[in-house]
Amino acid sequence: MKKTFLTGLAVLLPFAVTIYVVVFVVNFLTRPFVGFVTKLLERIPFHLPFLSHQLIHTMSEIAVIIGLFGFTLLLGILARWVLFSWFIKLGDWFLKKIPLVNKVYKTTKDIVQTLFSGGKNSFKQVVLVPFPYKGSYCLGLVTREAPGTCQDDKNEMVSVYIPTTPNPMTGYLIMSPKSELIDLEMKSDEAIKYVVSCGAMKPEAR
Amino acid sequence: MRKYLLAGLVTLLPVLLTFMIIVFLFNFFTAPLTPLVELVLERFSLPKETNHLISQLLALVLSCFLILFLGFVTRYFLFKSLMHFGNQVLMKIPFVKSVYKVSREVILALVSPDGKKAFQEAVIMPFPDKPHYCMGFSAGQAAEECQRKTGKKLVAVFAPTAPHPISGFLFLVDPDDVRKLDMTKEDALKYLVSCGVIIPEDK
Repeated sequence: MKKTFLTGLAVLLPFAVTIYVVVFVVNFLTRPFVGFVTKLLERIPFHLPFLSHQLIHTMSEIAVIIGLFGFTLLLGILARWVLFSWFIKLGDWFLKKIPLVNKVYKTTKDIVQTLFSGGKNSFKQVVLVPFPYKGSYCLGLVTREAPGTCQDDKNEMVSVYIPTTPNPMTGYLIMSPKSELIDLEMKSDEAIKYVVSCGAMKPEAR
Repeated sequence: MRKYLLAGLVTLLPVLLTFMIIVFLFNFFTAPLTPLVELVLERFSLPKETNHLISQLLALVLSCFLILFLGFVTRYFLFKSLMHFGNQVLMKIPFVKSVYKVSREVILALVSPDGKKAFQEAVIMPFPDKPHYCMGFSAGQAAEECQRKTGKKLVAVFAPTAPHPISGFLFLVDPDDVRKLDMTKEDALKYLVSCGVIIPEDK
């Protein structure tokens, strides 16, 4: 009985978690627009009998997702044209003139640009960091070299992110000399899985 | 007066907290199936509140049966291949693929006999530096690569934060530095959640 229950749980849980995450992401992305689109769809003159409110809501969510995807693609294409890149620069300049808005905009823009374009190697290299004391280790992900003012004369310092268990979205950012770190061959997603499962899911030995 | 108020609180709070947690868990586990059952029950024209409660109860029973049924059915060849097919389909959809893969592997690892062995023992390990200690739970041997690269024997210890033990760090430590405790893991958890106020009695 108990074994059967556990097997069933092992089958059902990943499925449930997937649905939960997908629904969460879809809701998150569509929330700002879905009300507007739902109202638009409800105006459709022909009324089908099976069109309930819930169905319209789901349909508008799908429409919003497709719309967002298309819009992002369109922006990406347009941004390469000279005329439009001039427009974008104008918008940029405009946003940077508004107090408070400019601070938020500049910070998010810098972070997103670095994460998407420059930092191809960020979070790729998995290392063992001597943390919290020498002789004990934590899995960490190297982000990049440490800021210049944090460097010292003898060692090359790098920034390492140490995720918490089981939620890797928080953690410590520490600066370590490169010579103290032990490079691992495992991929970063393997390391994340190892940390998220509290050590239960070990990466395969190579 | 103050004494009585405090005594009342001491009696009331644990009951209240237990009730809140049970209600939370109940709502959490019945949330996916309740709307479905409600749709069916709407035909009986019950009052809305009663309808919701009955649907929740039925949803709980239903999900228990569903889990048992799935576990029972998985043993048969036909369903195995059916599920294999379902897996294949899920693995083709972008984004869904990555979420499903990770959650599946993690859950399988936790359910496996190896995973169940984790968190069995309360231990203390040096943190943040030697002569200081923090409480943790042993989580088995460290990954093979970590032991090979350091050239040392390492064990994994999960050191939770207080008072929320659902976050923490996974430390890989020398087994000689880790000391097993006589207290049960429940006692260790109580010690952590209470920020050290509750100390288990010496045996």
